[in-house]
Amino acid sequence: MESVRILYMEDNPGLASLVQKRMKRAGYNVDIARDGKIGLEMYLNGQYDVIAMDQEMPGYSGLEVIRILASRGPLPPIVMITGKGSETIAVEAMKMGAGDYVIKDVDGKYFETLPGIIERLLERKHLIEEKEAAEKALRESEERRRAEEQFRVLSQISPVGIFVSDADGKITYWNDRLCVITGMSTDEGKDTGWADGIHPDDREHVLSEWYEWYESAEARADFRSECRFVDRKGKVTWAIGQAVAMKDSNDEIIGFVGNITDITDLKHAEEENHHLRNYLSNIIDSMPSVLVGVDSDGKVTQWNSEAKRATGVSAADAVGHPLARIFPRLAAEMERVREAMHTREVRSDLGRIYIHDGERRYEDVLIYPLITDGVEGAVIRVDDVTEQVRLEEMMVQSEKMLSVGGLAAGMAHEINNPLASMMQTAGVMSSRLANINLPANQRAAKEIGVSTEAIRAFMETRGILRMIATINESGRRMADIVNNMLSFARKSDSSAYTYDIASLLDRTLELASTDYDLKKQYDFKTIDIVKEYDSDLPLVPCEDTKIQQVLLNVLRNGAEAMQEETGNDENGIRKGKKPCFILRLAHEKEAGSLRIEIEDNGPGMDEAVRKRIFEPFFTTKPVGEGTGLGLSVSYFIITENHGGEMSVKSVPGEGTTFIISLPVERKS
Amino acid sequence: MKSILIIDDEQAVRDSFADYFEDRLWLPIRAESAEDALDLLETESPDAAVVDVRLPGMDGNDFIRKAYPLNPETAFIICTGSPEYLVPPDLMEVPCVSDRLFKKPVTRMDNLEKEIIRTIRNIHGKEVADE
Repeated sequence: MESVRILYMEDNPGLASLVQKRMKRAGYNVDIARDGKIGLEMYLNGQYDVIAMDQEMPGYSGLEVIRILASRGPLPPIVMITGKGSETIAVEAMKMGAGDYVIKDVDGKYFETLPGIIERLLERKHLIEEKEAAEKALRESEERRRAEEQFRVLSQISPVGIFVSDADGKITYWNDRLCVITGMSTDEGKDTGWADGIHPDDREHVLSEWYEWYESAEARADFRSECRFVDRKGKVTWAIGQAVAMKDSNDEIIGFVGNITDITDLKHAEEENHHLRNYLSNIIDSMPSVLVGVDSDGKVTQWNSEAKRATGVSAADAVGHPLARIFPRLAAEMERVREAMHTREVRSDLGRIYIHDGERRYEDVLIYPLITDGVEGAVIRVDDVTEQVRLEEMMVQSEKMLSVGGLAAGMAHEINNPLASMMQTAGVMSSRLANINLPANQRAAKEIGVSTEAIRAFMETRGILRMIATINESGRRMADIVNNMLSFARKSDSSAYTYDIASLLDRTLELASTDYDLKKQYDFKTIDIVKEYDSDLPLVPCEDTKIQQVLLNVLRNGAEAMQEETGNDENGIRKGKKPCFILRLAHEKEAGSLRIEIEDNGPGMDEAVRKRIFEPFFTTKPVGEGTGLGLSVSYFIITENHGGEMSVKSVPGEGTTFIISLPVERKS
Repeated sequence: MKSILIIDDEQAVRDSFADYFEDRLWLPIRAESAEDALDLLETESPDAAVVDVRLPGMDGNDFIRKAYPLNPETAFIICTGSPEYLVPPDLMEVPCVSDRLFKKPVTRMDNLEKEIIRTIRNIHGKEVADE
C-alpha cells in the first residue's frame, strides 16, 4: 500500500517535528507547513490525502484555510487541532466540513490519538468514495439502459429498416421494419441469414459488395447498395441499404450499423416514368407526320422517326443542333417559329412546294408553340400532302367535267336536231347523186335526158361526193363531241356484273391491234406488249364496255405518243427505241382495289401537261386531230361511274404510266 | 307501196327522212306535230311511223299511246335527239313499238329502214331470221 501523505500545518516547529516523528512511526508520511498560507500552497501543489492543522497560525488561520479550500471544491479529510477551551472553533471547523478535531492537551497525549483519527477519516473517505463509485455505476447503467431503450423505440418506430452487425459483418440486431422489408424474422436475418432473403439475381452482387466493403471499411465513407428482397410468398421489395462503421475510443471498428429503405414505390414510379417516356416517344414515333421540337434558339430538342425518315438524320445527330442546318428545307420557316413562340399562337405554312427526287411535292408545315410555363420552344409538324393536293386537283377536274356534262345535256338536243338535218340531208344527197341503180334516180335522170352514170361521173370529177363526205365526217365529229360531253353528265347505271379485268384488257388489246390509223401512220401490231399480271386477280364489278372504252383510249393515246417518239421517220427508218407497252394488273388487297397500270416508253409529258391531261378539251394534238375529250371521259368513267381512281405519272423523255384503280367491292 | 308517217317538228329533218324513204320506194306522209299526225291517222293507215319525242304540244310517247290502238298494224320507231331519253316501259311492251331507239343524227338510215321492216314483220308474226 502506498503510504498516506499528510500535510501538517503547525507554526510551532518543535511540536511539528514531534508529531511528524510520531506519525512516521505509525507509517504516515508527513510534510510540515509553518503557516496557513504556505500550507495552502503546498496542498494545492501536492498530493495529500489528509490535512491536519492548527487553528492558531500566521498567514491564514485553520478556519480560513478550510473556508478557502471549501470554496475550491470538495474538502479532503481534515483534522482540526485546537487548543483547550477552543471547542467552539472545533465545532465551527466541523460545521465547515472538517472531518474531526483534536484538543491539544498539555501532556501530548493527542499525538497518540491522531493516527487513529486519521485512520478513521481515511476509512470514511474510502467508504464515501466506494459509495459514490457504486452510485455512479448505477447512474451510468441507468443511462445506458435509457439509451438502449431510446434506440429500441427509435428503431421500432423507424420507417426504415435498421441493423447492427459485429466487426465480422454478421448481423446482431434487426428491427421490426426490416422484418417487413425482407420478409424474414429477426432470428432468420441474424448472422448471415439475411442473404437468403435477397432476390437470387441480386444476391451475388450484394454479398460481394458487402464483404468487400466491411473488409475495407476504414477506408470507405459508407456502404450503399440496391437490391430486391423476396418473401416466402414471392412478393418482391426493392430496397436500398446503407451502413457505416462503429468505432470504439481507440478508433477500432467494433461493428457496423446500417439502414435499409423500401424503395419499391420509387422503383415503380421510376419504371412507370420510364414506361411513360417509352410510350410517349412511341406515340410520337408512330405519327405519320414529321414532328420536331425546337427550343427558343431554334435548336432541335425532339426528333421523331418520321423526321429521321424524311431527312436521313438520326435523333442522336439532330438533337442539340440548329434546325436550319439539320433540316435545311425548314430554314425558311424559322421566322414563323419565332413568331409562334413570341405570340404563343399556332403558325402554319400550308401547301409549301419542294422538289424531291426531281418531283414536285407539297407539304403542310404547322408550328405549335409550347405554352407550358417555363418551357420555351415549339413543335413543328410537317405533313406530306402531295397526294391530297393531287386528289384535290382531280376533284376540281371532276367538278369541271360535271359542269361540262350539265351544259352538254342541255345543248345536246338543240345541237342534235340541226346536226340531223345536215347529216341526214347530206346522206340523202349522196345517195341521189351517186347511186346509179336507184330507180328514183334513174327516172329523174331520164326525164332530163342524162344517165345516172353521167351524173355520178360529173359529181366525182367535180369532187362533190368528197365534199359531201366532208360534211358527213364533220357532222360525225360534232356528234362525237356531243356524245362524249354527255358521258360527263350521265349517271352510271350501277352495274350488276363483275368482269375479269385481265381478259377485258386482252380483248381490248386485240381490238386495238385491228386499229390501224392511216392519218397517224401507226400500226399497233409493231408495238411490244409486256404483260405483268398478278395471279388470282379478283373479279371487278363494272360496265365492261365503258372500261373497255377507257383502256382503248389510253392504249390509243400511248400508241400515238410512242409513234411520234419511236416510229419511222420520213425515210421509213426507225427512230430510237422500239415502242413498248408494259401492262400491269395487281390486286391491292388493303385498298380493296384492282390496279391497272399501262406504261408506255413514249416521249412522256411535262408537269404542266400532266396537270391538265384529264381536263376536257385539253389536247396536245394538232387542231382537228383530237377533241381533247378522250382522257377526260376516261377519267370520268373511272372516278364518277365506277368510284375508282385514275392518275398519271410521267417522266419527260422516258414515258408515261396511267394508273387506274377500280374498287373490288361494289360501293353502296 | 308501203306508206311511212314522219313526225318531226324540224322541217329539214322531216324532209331528210321523207326523201330517203321516198327514194327507197316508200310513200312518205309528213307531220310536224303529234296533233297533225293524229288528224292524218283518221284517213291514213301507214305501215310505219318515225316518231320524234320532243314535239310542240303532245309529245311522241303520248302520240304513240293514242295512235297504236287506232292502227295496231303500224310499226312505230322512236327517233330522238335527246340524249337522256329512254323508251317508257309501257311502250316497250307494245309489240308494234320497236324497242330499239334511234338517236339523231341518224347516220345509218339503212339500219333504221331495216328496223322498220323487222318491226312490221314482227307485227305480222313473220320470222325475222332472214334479216
